[in-house]
Amino acid sequence: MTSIDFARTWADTRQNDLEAHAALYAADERFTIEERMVDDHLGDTISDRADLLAQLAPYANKDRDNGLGVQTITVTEAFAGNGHLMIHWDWSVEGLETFHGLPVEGRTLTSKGSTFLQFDDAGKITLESTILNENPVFQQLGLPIITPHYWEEGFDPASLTAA
Amino acid sequence: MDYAFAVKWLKAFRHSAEAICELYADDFVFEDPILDQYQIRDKGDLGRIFVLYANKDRENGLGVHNFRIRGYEGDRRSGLIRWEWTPEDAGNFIGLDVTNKPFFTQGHTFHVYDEQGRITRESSWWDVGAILTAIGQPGIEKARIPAKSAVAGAA
Repeated sequence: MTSIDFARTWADTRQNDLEAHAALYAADERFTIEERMVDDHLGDTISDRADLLAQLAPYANKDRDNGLGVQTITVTEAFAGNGHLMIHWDWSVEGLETFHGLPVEGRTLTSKGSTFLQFDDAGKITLESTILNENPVFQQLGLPIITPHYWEEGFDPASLTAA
Repeated sequence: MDYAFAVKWLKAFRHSAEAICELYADDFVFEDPILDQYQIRDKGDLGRIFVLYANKDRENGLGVHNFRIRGYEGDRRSGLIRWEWTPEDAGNFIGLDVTNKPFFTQGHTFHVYDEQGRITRESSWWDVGAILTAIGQPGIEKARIPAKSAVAGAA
């Protein structure tokens, strides 16, 4: 299995078969999954199968009417290293009721994400670090977030503090 | 690379745009999608990206950008730097008023290095929702997708 094939298997099982997804990871207490800032490892760091199945359940939700949304993850790139893999993916969700508390109101939300995976000698995942780019999503929901191209020649840095 | 290189990289952020650019190979790709920075391949553009992080003026509203390493996972040819970021004394951040609103977030950066240890590929990402939660953005809750009884135990 190539790196991109593994990345696609990882994404496919996360969306469609969480039991098979869990089998990609090392034994309980031998792996960690973090997909947001860690305030408290209790709640923010997944380290056993029960927590994996509970916290990752929204990824595999297929009910368009329960408000959890139906997510799609499409792998776009994979960078393989010695015992690790970095994955870039496109993301969308339909039928979501709220995103970080903001009403979605029927919109299909889209963005991109990244996932770093580290493996043990048996090829099982021991560490996952995932980050979704939430800026485009907040913009799609109407927040006044800006991402000016301040690195382009001629950009006025003072405009960053003018808003 | 290793933890020491990660610290060197972040100290260069604070020093100058020139110092940070020296750590990248001539043929490089830099990306920070959170700031809509894709396929940056020019050292001039890269330098202008890092001018913001080298700001030392606490009065101009751009903030002083305190980054700290959480860890490095990988080897000398590629790996992931995990970090924390506290913009201090910023007045405006991604268009939002953050005056007198302390906040920080965490992120990760994947690097690929050439044989001389220079960065040839960078992919940086960070948690924006944590910032909106910290500054008290109206309507924002920490949980991206709230728990629902429809999926037993879902977070």
